[in-house]
Parts: sequence; structure tokens; C-alpha cells
Amino acid sequence: MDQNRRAFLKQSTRYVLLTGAATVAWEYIVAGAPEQAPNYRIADHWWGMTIDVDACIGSGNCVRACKEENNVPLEDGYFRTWVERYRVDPADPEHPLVDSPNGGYDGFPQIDNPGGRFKTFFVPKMCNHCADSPCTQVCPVGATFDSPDGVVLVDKERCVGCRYCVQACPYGCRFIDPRTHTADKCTLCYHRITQGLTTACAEVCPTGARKLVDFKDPKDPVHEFLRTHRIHVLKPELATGAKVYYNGLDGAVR
Amino acid sequence: MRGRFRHAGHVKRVATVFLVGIVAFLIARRELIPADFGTLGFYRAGAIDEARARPIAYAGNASCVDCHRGKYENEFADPAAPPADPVSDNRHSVLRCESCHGPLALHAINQKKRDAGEDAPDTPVPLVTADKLCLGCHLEITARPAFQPQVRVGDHGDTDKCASCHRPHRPRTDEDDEG
Repeated sequence: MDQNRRAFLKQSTRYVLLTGAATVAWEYIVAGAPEQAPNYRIADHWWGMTIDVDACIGSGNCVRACKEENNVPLEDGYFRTWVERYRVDPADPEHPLVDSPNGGYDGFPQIDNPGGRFKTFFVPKMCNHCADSPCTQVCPVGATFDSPDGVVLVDKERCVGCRYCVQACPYGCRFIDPRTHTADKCTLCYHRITQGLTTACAEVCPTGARKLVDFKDPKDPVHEFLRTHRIHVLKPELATGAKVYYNGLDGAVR
Repeated sequence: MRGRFRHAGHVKRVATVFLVGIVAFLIARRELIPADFGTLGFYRAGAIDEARARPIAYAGNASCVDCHRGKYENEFADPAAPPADPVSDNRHSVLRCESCHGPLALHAINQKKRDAGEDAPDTPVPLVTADKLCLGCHLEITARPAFQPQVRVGDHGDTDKCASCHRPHRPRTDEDDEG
């Protein structure tokens, strides 16, 4: 298991370093017109993410990087990604204790675990970029939508701030930006991934627990990962078609 | 027949009002809905390009490696310490540069421009204040998995001076290697 993960991390790190697309796109980033970078064919991609719960150490790096990269309000309560800490009493797995101080932005304080009785772990959370997303179904003005490459985006020009999508999202990943009064959430760093870079959270994750994956790329290590790990998505009973796959997700996580 | 349409005037008036209303509605609708709305689905296709147009903050490891591999820099600016190549000599698990050094896209972009002889501000890599950073991952707290090396405050030397024994790029000390 451990050996497997190490091999997987090694392989995917090598894979990421070898993406030539990033180097080409870099020229355009330097020139200040990233959206004009060539060789991004929208039909060739189907983006998602894998999160290895066993590997998450609760550093909060992803939360900080995400806010930095995407200009998310720094106040508590506005997150495109956040980390939760679970403490599960084996005798009562239905009622886990969950804490997420400031979403994990400042890391986690020491907390009681009497006699080491609880099962404890961190779970990073984010938009699941559902294939059948409830949020896009309820938007009355077509301001939130599934892009052809499988990323759920928000059109801030059209959003009227009605908050339907905030209520519809079963994962709690949406919020209303207090500055623009429009809906906001994780874009899977669309501005980065379309240039061959990985997401900000995956870039800074110290253990490689989060990985951006492209299901349409036959060379992506994700296929091996899905074959060799026991994976799960959040709230599968809602049939949202979530594309964030968790390895080692405990049943106590909602 | 004639008798039936004798009073058709008011019908015409109502019909005109309706017609004007419908035309006004169609014109307004055409003006208000963006041209690219609905071409790909129930949304404005241009929103996709807008999502791509954001500036990036994190350059990504590839651009760090581009310049810094094979350049020997002194980690502590300490004349006694051997210089190290920050890329090849980085033994810190699977860390990427920006995990600790922070977002450096601006640094990379400006440096590229300067190398090309263009006018760009000098944006050096800021000095990392290591200790708080080390503890972000290596402080012993509940739920942190066992594979992660962790220190308890006060149990492990002075927790405020990690760098006095550990070099950030090669945190394992000789002692660790022997033990």
C-alpha cells in the first residue's frame, strides 16, 4: 500500500515535470495573454481530481495557495477549498467530531484525543466538478455551467446573485463573493490547467495528496490509480457524477 | 358578413397593440441576450475564455527547474556550508519549490523578461522564514498521519530553531542517517 503510493507519487511527479505544454504556454504567460496560448483543445480533456486522504497531513498549504491564486476573500467562511479534521468514535461512527478552524488556512491546533480512542484524519474538500451538477441545473440565467472539458464554471457577468446554486450544491462548495455579490467557487484553476500547469492546491501539496487528473489522457497515471486503489466519491447516492475521487475515504465523512 | 365585421375597429386596435408589444419584446430579447449565449449550451461561450484569462500566481515547478537546475547556490549564505543545487539536491520528500517559497510566477515572468533584455522589475525570491513553515507540516497534532515526521514542542531541541540542525533542502541530519 505504502509502496504503491510512493510509486504512484514518483510516477505522477515525473509525468507532471514532463508536460511540454506548460513550457509552450509559458511564453504566452510571460507575454501577458495566457488565454491565447495555443494547443489547448477543449475536446481532448475531461478534468477531475484525486485526493488521497491517507496522505493528507493537514498542512493547510492548499487552502492558502488557493486563496492566493484565485483572489478569494481572506475572511473566514470564504473558501474554494478547505480542509476538515475528523475525529470518529469507533463506538459511534454516525456522529464524528469535525473541526475546520478558518478552513485550515492557519493550520490545525492540537486537540484532544482522549487515550487515542478516536480514529482521526484530515479530509480536503472542494468543488467536485460534477458531470451532472445540481448547481448548473438550478441556475435561472445560465451563469453557471459545465464547460465542454468537464469543469463547472461561473460566469460573473451573468450571475444575478440569487443564491439558488449555493443552496443546491450538496457539497457546500459555493459562496457569494462579498465584493461582487455573485456566486464563486473552485474553477479547478481553469486558467492554469488550460496552459498545462496543475492547480495551485496540487502544486503546493507537500505530500502529493491532491492530484489534478485528465480522464481523457491515456497516459495520465489516474487510470492506474483508480485501478489499484479503493476509491469513493462524496455523496454518491445523490448521483451528481462527482469527479473528485477520494482514496481511503471513511464512511463517517459526509 | 358585413354585419359581422361592422365593429372590427377596436379589434384592430388591440391587435396593433399586441403586434407592437411582440415586436418590442423580440427586439429587446435580441439586444439583451449576448450573441455567444447558447452556442455551446445554456451559457455564454465567452465565459470560458474569461475564466482562462486570469493571471497565475504559482509558476509551477517546471519553470523553477528551467533556471535553477545546475546553479549552485549557498543555502545559508554561510561560507562554511557547501553550495547546493536547489533542484537536484532537494531531498525534501516530494515537495515542490513553491510549497515553501510561496507563489513565484511574478518572479519567473519578470526574470524571463530581464534575461531577454526587456525592462522588468527585479523580483527576487523572498527569504523563507523557515520555522513557522516547518511546524506547519512537522508539529505533532491529532490526526496527522504516522508516516509524517513530527516534533512535539519542547521535546525536540528548540522548536524555534529548526534550521540550526536541519537544512531545509536536505532535512535529514547525519544523525538521522546513522540512526
